[in-house]
Amino acid sequence: MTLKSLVKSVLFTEIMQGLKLTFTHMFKKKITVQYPHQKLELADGYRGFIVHRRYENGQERCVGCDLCEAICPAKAIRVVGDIHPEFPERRFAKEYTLDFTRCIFCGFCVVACPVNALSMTKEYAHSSFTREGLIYSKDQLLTLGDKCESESIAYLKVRNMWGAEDSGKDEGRYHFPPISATQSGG
Amino acid sequence: MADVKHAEVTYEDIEEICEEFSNREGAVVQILQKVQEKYGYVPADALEFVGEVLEIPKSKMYGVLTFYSQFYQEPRGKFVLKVCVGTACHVRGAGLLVDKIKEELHIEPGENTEDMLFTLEPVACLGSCALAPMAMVQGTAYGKLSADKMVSLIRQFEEEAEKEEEPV
Amino acid sequence: MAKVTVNGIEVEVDPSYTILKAAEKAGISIPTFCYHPRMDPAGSCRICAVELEDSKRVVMSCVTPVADGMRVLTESPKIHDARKTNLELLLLHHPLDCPVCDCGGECPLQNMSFAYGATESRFESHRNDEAEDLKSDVLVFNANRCILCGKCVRICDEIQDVHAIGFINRGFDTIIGPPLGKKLDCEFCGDCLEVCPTGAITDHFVRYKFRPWQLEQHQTTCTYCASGCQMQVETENESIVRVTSKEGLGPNEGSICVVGRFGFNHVQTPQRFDTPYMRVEHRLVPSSWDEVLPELASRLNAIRRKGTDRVAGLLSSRVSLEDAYAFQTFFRRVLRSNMIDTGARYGFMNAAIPLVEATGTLRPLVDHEDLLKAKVILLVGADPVAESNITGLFLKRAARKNRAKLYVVDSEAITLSTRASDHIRIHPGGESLFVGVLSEEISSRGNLSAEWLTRKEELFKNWNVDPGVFQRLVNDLKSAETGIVVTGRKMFRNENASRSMINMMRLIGSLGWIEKEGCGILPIPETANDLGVLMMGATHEWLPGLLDARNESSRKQWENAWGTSLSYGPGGGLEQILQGIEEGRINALITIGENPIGHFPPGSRVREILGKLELIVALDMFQNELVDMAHFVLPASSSFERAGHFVSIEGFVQKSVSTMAHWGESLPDWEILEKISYAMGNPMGFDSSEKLMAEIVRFLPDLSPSTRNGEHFVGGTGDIHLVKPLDSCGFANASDVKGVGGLSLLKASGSTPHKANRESVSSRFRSWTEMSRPIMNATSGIPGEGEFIFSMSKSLFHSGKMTLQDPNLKKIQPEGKLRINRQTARKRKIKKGEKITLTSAHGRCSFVVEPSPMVSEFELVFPEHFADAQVLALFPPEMAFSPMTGTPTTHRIRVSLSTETIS
Repeated sequence: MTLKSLVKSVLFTEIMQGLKLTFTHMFKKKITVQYPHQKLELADGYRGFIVHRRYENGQERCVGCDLCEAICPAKAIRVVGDIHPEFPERRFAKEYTLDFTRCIFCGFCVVACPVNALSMTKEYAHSSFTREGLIYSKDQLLTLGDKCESESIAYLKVRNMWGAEDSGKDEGRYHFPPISATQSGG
Repeated sequence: MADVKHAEVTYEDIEEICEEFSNREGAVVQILQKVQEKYGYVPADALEFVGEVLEIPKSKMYGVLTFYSQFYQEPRGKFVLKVCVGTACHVRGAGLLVDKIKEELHIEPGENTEDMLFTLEPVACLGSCALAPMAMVQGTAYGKLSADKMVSLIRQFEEEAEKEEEPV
Repeated sequence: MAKVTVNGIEVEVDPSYTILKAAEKAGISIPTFCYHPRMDPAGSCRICAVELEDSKRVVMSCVTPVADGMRVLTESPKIHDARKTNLELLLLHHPLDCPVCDCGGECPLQNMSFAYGATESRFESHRNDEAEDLKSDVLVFNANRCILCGKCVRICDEIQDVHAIGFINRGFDTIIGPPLGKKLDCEFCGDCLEVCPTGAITDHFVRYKFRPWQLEQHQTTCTYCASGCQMQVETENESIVRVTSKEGLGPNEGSICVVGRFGFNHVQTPQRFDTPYMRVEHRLVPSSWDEVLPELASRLNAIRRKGTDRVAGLLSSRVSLEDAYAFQTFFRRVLRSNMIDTGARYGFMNAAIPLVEATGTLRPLVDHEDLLKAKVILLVGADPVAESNITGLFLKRAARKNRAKLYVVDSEAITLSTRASDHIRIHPGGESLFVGVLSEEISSRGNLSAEWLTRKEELFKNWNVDPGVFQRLVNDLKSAETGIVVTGRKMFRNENASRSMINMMRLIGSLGWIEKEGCGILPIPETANDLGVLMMGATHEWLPGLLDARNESSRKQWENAWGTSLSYGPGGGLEQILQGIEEGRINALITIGENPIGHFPPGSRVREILGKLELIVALDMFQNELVDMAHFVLPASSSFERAGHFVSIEGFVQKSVSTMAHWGESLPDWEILEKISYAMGNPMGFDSSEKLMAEIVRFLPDLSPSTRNGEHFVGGTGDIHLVKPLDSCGFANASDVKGVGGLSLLKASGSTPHKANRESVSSRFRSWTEMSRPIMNATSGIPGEGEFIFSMSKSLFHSGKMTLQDPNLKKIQPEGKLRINRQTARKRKIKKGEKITLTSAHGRCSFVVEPSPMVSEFELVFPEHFADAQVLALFPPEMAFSPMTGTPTTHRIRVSLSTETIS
């Protein structure tokens, strides 16, 4: 036993074994990404910046129901509901602010949204020199949403929140009489 | 529907009708029937006056009025075409009768013609299934009808109405 | 008694109880939708199903009476299934729009669906898609969400007796709404909104602006009228979102009126003063407390040094006990002045002075519960529904459910007239004459002179009153087991009001109602704290505790209590204040929420008189005529922002709490006065409203907070759980009271500490009746040919002039309309909404007309809230005051009517 262990320690076999892994990686293909010039492809379920969505006819989906505000664990969302200025029977968000300095990107708000007005995108690199710059208003969120529409749809699909929209039925989802009128078939 | 002219109702007339039933609250349905007999429908003013006389709140009166489908809140045509769409008549083609009337008079079920002569009212069984398909107009039953017979009936009523107007 | 076992718990209950009530007694809650503790059960929602253990039957607990030995299971697999199926059926038609429904989050249907897991219906769904009824300015009816429990219809019928809404159509098409598809036209109490278990009824004012879980609830006392309603003010970020009530809570038992429920928005409108203002070179400029106080203090000190009674004070009677106490302390102790008066002077003082003289107290002899027990109720010169809505509700209940004989004596038909066994229609202003005749009739015990009898006969002939009805009233009053006289604003604002009140006291004295429990008189105060400010001695007549301010011994008493010497002058009320200012004896005026200019006709020189003052300090919330003249305008907090106590019509001392942040730099009135006194170098030493109340209660332990207690339900719409009765003191700061000590002074007044002590009242009354003389001195006010009597009434939808600033109430009643008899209008071809001109001997003014079947043909009635200078111009410019009570006496004026409009 002692001879065997002596030989082992003299010849540094243990270290060689360890270094073997290191050396094999030296010859493998590099995976370092030159980030600003080169970007990774993200999964559809990636939880990036949250956006607001619209219906096909351009109308904003958000009904100002405050459920995202209620569920938000970081208290990053603030919704002020009011009567829609054009349709007195409809609720809408008069003010909607999402504070990305607080947001923890958990995606709960997207789950809570009864009308799929919220979704997450693959945007992750928004930055600002001020804190206020990261507090997004509804208009900003809508603009971002318009830009990343396919990503937001992909997110909803991969997260199993698209079913009701595809089936064209309002069963299982919430039914809002005014909105069913704007959707095809209702 | 075009603007319909509502009947003019006076409080005194309503008081008289209520008096017949000694102003009993329980007779409200009969009183409303009498009112309908007089005006052809139950005008809103009449409803309010009956409520005032019998001391029944307006909201309750309106509840009674809307509960029974026999009461009408809008003026009706001179000839109410009650077309039976009950089982027996349906089997014998009551649907064709209704369609014909619609086509002839350009009205939907429940509507009046613009000259206020006709009202189409599909009803459930009138109790004379042996005469199916049948219709009832101004209390007279017309049995074993067909679409053509229906049209000639309508013509007949139109003539009648014209005749009545002539002396005036 | 019946023994019932509910879920194994045995309870003994009255056999008249239903299973639901027995379960409640056992401490078990059963879910309900259509059950309401104050109404007859309907049994329509089928959710309160329970299982009878012996027969295995499922019955509805809200309608099934208990039987001896009954064994009930409220939770079992069978019951669970029954309820779940029921919910599935309810959800057949109910839209799943909870996220945008205002009820979502506090919805019993939502909670129940969640609890019973009825997420998926086995039935094919038929979602209703009716458009919402948005016609009304106040309520929104959404037929889709309605589960037809009928609570709204029933509360409107049974509790409010308004019958504004009903079921429409039949079967699946049934909806709830106002009749004939018209706009909702009712008292807008909002009780239907409160009881609706779903979002079928919501209101326009807060529609879509809130979510229930964001709101913070504050239980407080309404400070509009004297009913003393307990309500819940719900706030978000320290601003008021809505006002709700809690079933069974407080004297109002969960009902609140339109003003209480919707009149909260004026306190958060930008028109409110948010900073102190100082007059610099004829202009009011915004300033700060630090700048204003030293300047004001030095000017006040200079005036104070001139002698006693140099500064006058006018206090609104809508302030709390604390404010009133600080007000009189400030004047009597700091400014050495007794020239103080309150808003009660314009009316309620006419009742207060005779009441205090006759009974020694302002606490009422009877409360609302006595109204329910009374056999005969005489209502003279009051419209309780408008003046003190909850008193009106109790009167409706007394007449409707308890079959009390209600006699209404009024010139016009009031809401309660339809419930009255007899309505004696007198001529406008004839209240005092009627009371005189009635009291003489009863106190003379049949020994009436022949001359009197002929005069009486003549009078009734003039009035067109059936003498038989009068005789019936007299007989009923005489033979009544228990009887109550209710009187109010119209009586107080009568030319001979104080005399009539004496007659009224004589009347109830000779009926023996002073001694008898459950009998007496219930005067309806005009504002929330008329009783309180008078008890606090905020008028020149009385020191706190209603002690005579001019009496040396009572002054000594308070000198001892305060440990200072009081050196105020003889003082005076409104009349003496105006006189004193005119003669230059008074140099400064401090007003708290009062504007004397608004009460007198423009020709009356009040403005001119006030112009002679060296210094006017106005503590107010909004701009008015006096503020325009003031040298200092100090922003006062509203009653929603500060804590304070109010004395209700029933004598309850109830707390109103601070529910929102102080508006701008505004402060409570007592704090402003304290700051001024501090700046003057003579601080009163009140550092918090709690300490202030503790001092009041230390000296006057009778004013310890109290409210009507008892078992009651909480939640109102659905989840029912039992709440333990409040402890006898009711409110938290009872412990503060004990901390100060001095409780030994507390009179043991049994279970009803809010009412007057009948023994002390009757002993005082006995000595008073001996001094009184029968007074019959009035002329009947029958207008001449083509003439009308113009008078002013209190509207149900407003309270004082303050609520005119309220956006919500202004939407409900935006302008004052002159009410005219319908027949007269038809005869004169005046249509609704037209303009007419009234001309009196002193001026003319045009009005928009509203024909009404309620008004008498001799009268034209206008809501007082809208009476601006143009309307007041109809009244004589001379200011006349009653020699007995110092109240202004002109309330009615003869006018002629023309359809031409003034250019």
